[in-house]
Amino acid sequence: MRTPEPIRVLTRKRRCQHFFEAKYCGLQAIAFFLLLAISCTPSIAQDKAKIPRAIDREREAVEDPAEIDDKQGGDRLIEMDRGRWIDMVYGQLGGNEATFDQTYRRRVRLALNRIELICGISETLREKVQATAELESQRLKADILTLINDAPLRLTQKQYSDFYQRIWKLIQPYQSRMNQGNNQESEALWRKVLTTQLDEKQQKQITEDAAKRTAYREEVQRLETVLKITRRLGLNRDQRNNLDKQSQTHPNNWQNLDMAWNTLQALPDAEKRSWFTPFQLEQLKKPLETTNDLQVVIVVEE
Amino acid sequence: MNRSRLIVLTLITIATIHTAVLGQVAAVPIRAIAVNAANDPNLDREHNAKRWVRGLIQNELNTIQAVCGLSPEQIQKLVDIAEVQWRTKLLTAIRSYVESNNRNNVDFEQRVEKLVNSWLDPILTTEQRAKWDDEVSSRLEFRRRVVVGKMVMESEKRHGLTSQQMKDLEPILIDRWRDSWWAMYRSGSLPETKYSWVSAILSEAQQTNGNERAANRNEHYTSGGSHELPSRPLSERFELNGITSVESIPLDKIKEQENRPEDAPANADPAPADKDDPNPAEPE
Repeated sequence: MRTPEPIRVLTRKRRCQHFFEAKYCGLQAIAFFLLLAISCTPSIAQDKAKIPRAIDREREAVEDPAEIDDKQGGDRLIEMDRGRWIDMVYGQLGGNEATFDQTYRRRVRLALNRIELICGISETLREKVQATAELESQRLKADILTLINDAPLRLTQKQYSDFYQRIWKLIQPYQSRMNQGNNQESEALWRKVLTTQLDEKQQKQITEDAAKRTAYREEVQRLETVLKITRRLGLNRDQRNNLDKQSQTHPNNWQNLDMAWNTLQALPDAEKRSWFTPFQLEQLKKPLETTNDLQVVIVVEE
Repeated sequence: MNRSRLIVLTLITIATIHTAVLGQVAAVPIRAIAVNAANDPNLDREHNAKRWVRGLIQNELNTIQAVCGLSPEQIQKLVDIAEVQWRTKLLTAIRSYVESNNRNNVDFEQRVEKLVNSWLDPILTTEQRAKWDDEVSSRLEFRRRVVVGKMVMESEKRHGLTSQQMKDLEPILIDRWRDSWWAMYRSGSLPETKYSWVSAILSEAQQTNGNERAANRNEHYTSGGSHELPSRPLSERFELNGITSVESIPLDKIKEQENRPEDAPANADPAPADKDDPNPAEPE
């Protein structure tokens, strides 16, 4: 009588061994080739086509749809539309049409408020001048539209540059007035209208006040430069005061650090020796160091 | 046993193929790291920061000597403290500069001044201390003029002030002066002139115009240009009236920078590159 085969309870280890026994050999081979195939896929795929990645640094740059090759001429053509032209123009004037309107009106208001304080103007004149300014800005906007309506929509680089020059010529006076304030204001039509309505005394008062404000700004700029030279050379109070006096004689040379440094270097040796210590004189012989570091520039517009 | 070997071989094969494939990707960054290590821009930044800090300290020491007239013993104490403490006490400032790409964010000047001031307490006599405090307050006064002037200029543009209003605004800002304003100015910004401060001097029409600051203030960065920070080579000891820090205090150097011409001792022969210097130093 044949004794029944005992039930085999396979331990985990035993099951693993079992897996690799002959009867699993075929399965093992399949698994091996499968893994091998998975491993090789990237390298094979790399040869034929690149694997898409979230950030692919080697990917060829996608051509700007606005710039396409003209196969006939071989020249690079730029495609524009009215919207792009308008965005570009108002981008130069503060962002968009609404921003331009707002900034331009505000600038006129600020100037009129100031003039009112300096020499007094009537409400009627104020309204007249503001209406002129409004007309002026509307005229500019109409001119911009007219120009853009003539703008080519498919143009070469040279045609683009030429057309940009036409735009620039149109908007540049307004851009200067908005960015530089008083210096360019006198060219504005509203300012001319105002001037014709003011008497000589009032005009003189306005000119004098503008000169005083310019002098204030230059003075602060000069003091800032003196401060920088003080830092560079390590000046004490007396030396700084001497420098302050010296810089007042030619304030234009003290509007920035480079100009001031060159001015100081060019002074007669005897004069320099009377102001500075030997250590400072040695420092003064060296050129200013330069840096590639970023510098903050703050522009405050009216 | 043979099957076990087969498994091991399979795993090795897979690992080898993976390494070969991934290695192509990994090799580039590894090479890049190696190249960067050789030309590490941070080394330059660290070197510059240290030179500027030393230059500022040397200038401050010179000013102290000019104002207070230190004795040789006082000078020796001061330069020794400076040589020992300059790097450790200003490590945060130097590190901040190394890690940023904007010099304006790090106000070396004020930090150096505070540090040097802390060295003076055990060294100066009461009389010398009073002289130095007077010098420092005069310096702060000058700085205040500049910062307040800049703030007035900003208000002039923002509110359309007249020259008289600009003059009237000055004392208002001076009354409200805070030392932190100087730090803000040095970090490339300007303190805000609050509308409530200015409104007192504005006309009714100017007040109606309001304070539309955000839309009219534009900050941007530009790179490069001259700067006013003095620099001192790392190989030169602090020196006052011919007295240098004692030789037993080791100098701090960045190894990679030791051969730089600007770090060569003052009495050493000029490097050949100096012959081509377009701005050679004039002979005395």
